[in-house]
Amino acid sequence: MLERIIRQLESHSSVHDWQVELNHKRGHQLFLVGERVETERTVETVRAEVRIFNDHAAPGGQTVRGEASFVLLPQDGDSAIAQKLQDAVFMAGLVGNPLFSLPGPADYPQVEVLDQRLAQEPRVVLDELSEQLIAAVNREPQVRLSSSECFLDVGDSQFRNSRGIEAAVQSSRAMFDFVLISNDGKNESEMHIAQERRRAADFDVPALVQRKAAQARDALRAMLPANHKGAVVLSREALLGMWTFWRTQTSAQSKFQKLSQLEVGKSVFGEREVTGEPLNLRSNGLLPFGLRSGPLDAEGLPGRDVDIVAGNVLRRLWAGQRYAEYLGLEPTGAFGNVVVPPGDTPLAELLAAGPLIHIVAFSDMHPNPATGDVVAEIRLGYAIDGNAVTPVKGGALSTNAFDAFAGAIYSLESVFLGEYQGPEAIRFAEMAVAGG
Amino acid sequence: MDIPPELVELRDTLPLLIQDMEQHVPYAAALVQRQEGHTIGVDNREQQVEPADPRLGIVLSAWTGHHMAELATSELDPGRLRSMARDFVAGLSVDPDGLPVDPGEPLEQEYATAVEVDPASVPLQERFEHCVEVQSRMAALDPRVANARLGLRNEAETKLFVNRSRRLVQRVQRARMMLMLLVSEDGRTAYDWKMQDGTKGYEVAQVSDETLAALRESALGVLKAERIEPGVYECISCPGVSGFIAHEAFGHGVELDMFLKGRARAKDYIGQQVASPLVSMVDNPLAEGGYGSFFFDDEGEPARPITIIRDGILERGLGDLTSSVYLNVPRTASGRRESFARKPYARMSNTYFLPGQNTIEEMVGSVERGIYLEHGSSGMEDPKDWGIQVICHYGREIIDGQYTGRVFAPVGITGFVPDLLKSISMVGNSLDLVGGYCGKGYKEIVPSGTGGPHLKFQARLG
Repeated sequence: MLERIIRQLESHSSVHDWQVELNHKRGHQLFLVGERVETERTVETVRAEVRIFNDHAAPGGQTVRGEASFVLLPQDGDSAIAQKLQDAVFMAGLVGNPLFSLPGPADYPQVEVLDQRLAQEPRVVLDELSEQLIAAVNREPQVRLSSSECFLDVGDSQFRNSRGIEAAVQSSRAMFDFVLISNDGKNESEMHIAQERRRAADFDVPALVQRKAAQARDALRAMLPANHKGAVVLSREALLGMWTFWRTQTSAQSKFQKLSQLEVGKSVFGEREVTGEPLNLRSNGLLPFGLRSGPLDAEGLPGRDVDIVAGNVLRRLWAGQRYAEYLGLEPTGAFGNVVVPPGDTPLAELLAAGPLIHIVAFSDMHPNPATGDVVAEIRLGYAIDGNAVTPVKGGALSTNAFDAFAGAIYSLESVFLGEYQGPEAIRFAEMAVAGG
Repeated sequence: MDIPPELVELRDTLPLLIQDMEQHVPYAAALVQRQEGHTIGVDNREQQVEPADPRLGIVLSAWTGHHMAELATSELDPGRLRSMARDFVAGLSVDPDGLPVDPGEPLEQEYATAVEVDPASVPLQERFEHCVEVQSRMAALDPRVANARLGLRNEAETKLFVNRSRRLVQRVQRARMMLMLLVSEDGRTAYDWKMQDGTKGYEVAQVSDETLAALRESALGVLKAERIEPGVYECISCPGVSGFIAHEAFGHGVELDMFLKGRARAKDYIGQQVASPLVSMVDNPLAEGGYGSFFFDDEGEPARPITIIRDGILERGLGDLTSSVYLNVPRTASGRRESFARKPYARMSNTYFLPGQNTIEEMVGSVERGIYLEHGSSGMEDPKDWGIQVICHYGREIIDGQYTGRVFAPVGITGFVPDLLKSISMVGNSLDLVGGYCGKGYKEIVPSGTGGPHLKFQARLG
């Protein structure tokens, strides 16, 4: 299939560059309600994603580049390929963007992105994960399994482009989503857990269930927090939304599109007074079994481990080939996994000096990508004041990501959460919680 | 209706394949999905014209008596599919005394969205040039515009459903025009956006000067926004925020798979007062122009409106096939999939409060100290604990029935669902549907419609 597509791409006079990614995905999915199977599924798809580039003269006379993509399926014969290609050339001919090139071949790093066992025995791994989950939940008092969903996917990808890249990657992904319900005889509450990893063993199901079951029990006695302005600690999954914001703000594309005002060589905090520890942030595409790891990215740039922010200073914008050329930067490839060095303060110390709110789960948390403003409902947290620890839920955290990180203290303990490796918790000096 | 060529042969051959499968299992069905369309994107510095997320594949479903098994594939050759289907069902363990599945009354029908202007009738080049022209008007709105982005998406989704008593085809067209203005002044950056969308055609691409002027004003307002002082406020929600409340605060909690999983507090409140008597709420997959509209769901159930809350009383939930079988309750047309590669869940379509008696002027005029909430930007369900999270892009202060000009952003609504719904004291007399995408938990994204009338209620904002 790949060769048939490439033959046509190479022989078309209006295709000035191209890339093709042929993906063969095999998936197994298991859904439980309680401990009973509700649905089991197998999924197998083959599709080629083709991107073509066409250079042409703009009305002003300058040469511009257009691009368009299309999808081919195995049943598409030569005439279907020719028709879709012609449609794409037409679309690309409408579009006039500044010129940019495609990456050429490079030395691609060896990166672990495949769970061999998951690839060889997916059904066995699926059953094992479900059995581990059921066994772990059954060990927990006052907690039952409401439902679970487990997806295991293995993908074979072949990548080619007109500049000579020929690469193949086999990778795996596992998604585990389950709900625990706690019951103290009078009330019920729930914890919803949704995690994704490349390797099934990285879920560490017994430890995960133990931690989340304890939280589900705490949720039973959680109350609305009081209004609070002061220290807030975010830990584990509750931190992840913050990193999405930094990923957006440090991208060359955001800079090009004026969404980000950050400047290379300057503090990411601008004129703000920095009272906390320095922010250090790496984009690491080589992290073993990281969800954003790989020998190459979607454009064909090799996976790398690069400094993005060091000592609060923006060292570089991360950039694919296109935006790197637009802004005259070195291409880094797509953002890999967020890697942040741990701090010096044990988590227990971060939580010691109250009053503070320690948040372990938000309903949803997405900082505004332009301003960094955040409002997010607290799904579960703890109000800590001296020795008094009170579970809280409801109410909203209200802050600004720039302001918050200017006063951040990072925990000594580190965690790996699929696309993040770094401090298990961060204590922010000043955030607001709107409670009762 | 023009049926895509891939589906024509399958429409004729799938009934035989279903017969084959039902030699081994008590119930079988097939759903073929084909999605095509275009997206056009233009901003100050870049342009884009692309096919819109093309999808083509089939899912075969087989009920074993105790659970559903599915095989999803991009393979559409009828001969190979039949062979795959035989192998698939041969590997299943069937419980002959298990729960039965009703294939429904016999029905053979084709349906298609009625649109004013079929995008296919307008040359792609003309659509692109129109977008460039609208974007240039946006970019010229104000010197503080740092970037003006426009996105136009037209998609047509054709689905073929076959079981032993039904052979249904639908072609649903959806269109969405997104206008986003990024403004910058004194080192501050902010944005606002406007959507025109629905199960509609190219007509959504027409943008008036009034719309653009309003977008300019709101974006510049957000640029000067302050943080709101946390507290309990009188609130007026715009139709979009009313829709977010209907969808996130209550809708997810009445999806019947949540009942089955013991996750829905609503299960214990059927027939009880959960909202102000002024409140009625529906899920209506047949809402004209609704972004979440369709003619039959992904399990072959013909669409019909469902009243969830009538005059404040919770009436019923929304059921997919398996949940309805397990719970032994009638199905609704609520079994929806993200794509053929995903399972169906009980899902909403267009979920909204029904209009009431009050004009918006009366509602704003009645507020002593409060906030007009604009643009629901995100929300999250909490069906077990009935917590609310709805984030509004911004809110406008009202004092003594007048807008003061102060803007707060962002504004989060939190609280306990019944408290908020019971506090509704005025319901607007107009109905405005808003399009969007809905997830189940953190995934399984499907098009949906929300909206409704303006509402006046009390809530904790922060």
